[in-house]
Amino acid sequence: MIRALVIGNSHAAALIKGWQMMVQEYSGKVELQSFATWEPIYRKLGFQGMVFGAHAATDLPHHSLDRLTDMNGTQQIDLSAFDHVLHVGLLVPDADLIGTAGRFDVDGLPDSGRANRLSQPAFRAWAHSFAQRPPVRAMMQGPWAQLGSRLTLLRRPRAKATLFDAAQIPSATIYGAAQDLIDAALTRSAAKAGVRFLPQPAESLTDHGLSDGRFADTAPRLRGDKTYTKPDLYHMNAAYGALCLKAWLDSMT
Amino acid sequence: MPSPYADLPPRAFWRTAVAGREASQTAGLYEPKFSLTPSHRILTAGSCFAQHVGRTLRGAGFDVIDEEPAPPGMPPAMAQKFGFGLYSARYGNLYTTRHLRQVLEEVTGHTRPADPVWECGGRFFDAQRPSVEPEGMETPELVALHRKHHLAAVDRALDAADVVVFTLGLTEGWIDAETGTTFPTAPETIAGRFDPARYQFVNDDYPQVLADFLAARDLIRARRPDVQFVLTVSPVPLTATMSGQHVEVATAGSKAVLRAVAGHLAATYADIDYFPSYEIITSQTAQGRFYAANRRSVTEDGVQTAMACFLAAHGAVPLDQPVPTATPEPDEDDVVCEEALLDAFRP
Repeated sequence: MIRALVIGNSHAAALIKGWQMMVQEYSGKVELQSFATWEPIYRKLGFQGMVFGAHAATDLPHHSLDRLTDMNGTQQIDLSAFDHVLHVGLLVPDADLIGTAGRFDVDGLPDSGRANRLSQPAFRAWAHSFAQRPPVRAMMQGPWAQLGSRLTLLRRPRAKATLFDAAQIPSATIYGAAQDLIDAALTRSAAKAGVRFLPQPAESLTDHGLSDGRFADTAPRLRGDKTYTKPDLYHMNAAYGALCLKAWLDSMT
Repeated sequence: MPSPYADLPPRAFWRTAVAGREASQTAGLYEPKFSLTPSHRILTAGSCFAQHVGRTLRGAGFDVIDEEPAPPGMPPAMAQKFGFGLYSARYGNLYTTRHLRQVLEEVTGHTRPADPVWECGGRFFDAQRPSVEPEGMETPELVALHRKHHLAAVDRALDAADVVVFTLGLTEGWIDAETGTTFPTAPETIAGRFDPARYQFVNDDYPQVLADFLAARDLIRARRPDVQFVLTVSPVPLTATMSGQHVEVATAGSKAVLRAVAGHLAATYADIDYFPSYEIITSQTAQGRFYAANRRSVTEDGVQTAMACFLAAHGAVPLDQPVPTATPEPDEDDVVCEEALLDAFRP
């Protein structure tokens, strides 16, 4: 029996719900646990040894700690107790990607006649730099990296295809191409750090490389049975969560 | 009759103005002809020392034009490597007034540089700015496409400029012998193939430097009649000389020509000012401390001292306060300076 943990921010909700769709398939083979909370709380959690969560020095108000307990039944979790850990919701700053996709043309990609133009080398270098940003680097060093190949990183999903309308195909293509480059860079960085990177499943992407809306309807929230009703670019549904979990679990079993 | 020197202020006398002065005390060295304000749109260009000027002005809240910005989120060091944010467009270093003039003539359709694409290792480079794409491009056609975009960006920058800050850097350069097209580097330094029958070394003299700058000024004033200029002379010595002289003698000769041209222009034209960063860095009071160990790169302290003088004179920051910078100041060796690549060819 593999002891597996899904840990992360609000994007973990899709996987937690997705597990309910596939638990029978992995019955007797995988025991899955989760530990998740909203990003503003999650980013303040830390390690003591390999125990991750809220500690005495954690700077969180009581109501946040209460929510952490409410969602997980505990404020800490010992990562050393698991055979595999999937960290969900790694944040790659999307505003810069969207800003570039909306303002630049890129060699070799559909052209919009914009004033700003990037060569392929500049575009690749820029995209690869996202894999060196602080939130990413933090996951590839220190206690996280000590998990070694037991740790797999899953990014926050790409923006939904509705981000760009039909007249903005070039922007969508640039956004998707940049995301592909970032994923490739993250894969290399993770391998270098001895951890693993799980790219967003291809089935959940449109031809232009954005998240397919089919996997975005009724995206669950972490608490209760609520779903995201307001326009939301990134949260995905249980079907998406199941895709990710299957890719992850199949890679280890 | 008293001596005509009798009523001169202390700044006019070496003993009172220099002999007892600390290198960092630059008050009085520069009295601007006109004031720069945050409402001025500033175009920067010139040799690699001009990169410090643009960065400092931007950091101090001046509106430095950037018509070819880096993509959002590109790390500063990477942006610099690709020529983003160094100047008002990605023309790279314009070391000579000859090159400044040529770029402006190209933008305005008066000239079309010969030998526009250089090759190296199967990649293709814009011969007029080979350093801005360090990996080169896949095809010559892509180089031409990017050049078209670049010239349009320069065109927009010129249309917006209230003030042009230009740093005169070198007198030595390389031209295409048949057409006179000038290049920022010798062929084979970054890309291209050196053909002694085709490429010719030039060392511009005073009349040439002056004529080229005045022609450039005319081109800018044709579209921006009220534009004003601030000239500086780069204190960075030559990395190598083709003049046949000792490089130190050649450097002194080049800088003397550039300084003389800048002085003449500032003395003659109301729209041209001269900022003495060259004097601040090379001053005897500094005793060489504004130069790094290689005695060529200007130290961060030197840049800070010169730019503090400039900003204080324009009322941007008090003289005794540190100079703000828009992006982290790179190490002196990180300033993009193709000319420094010549060092790789030394014996």
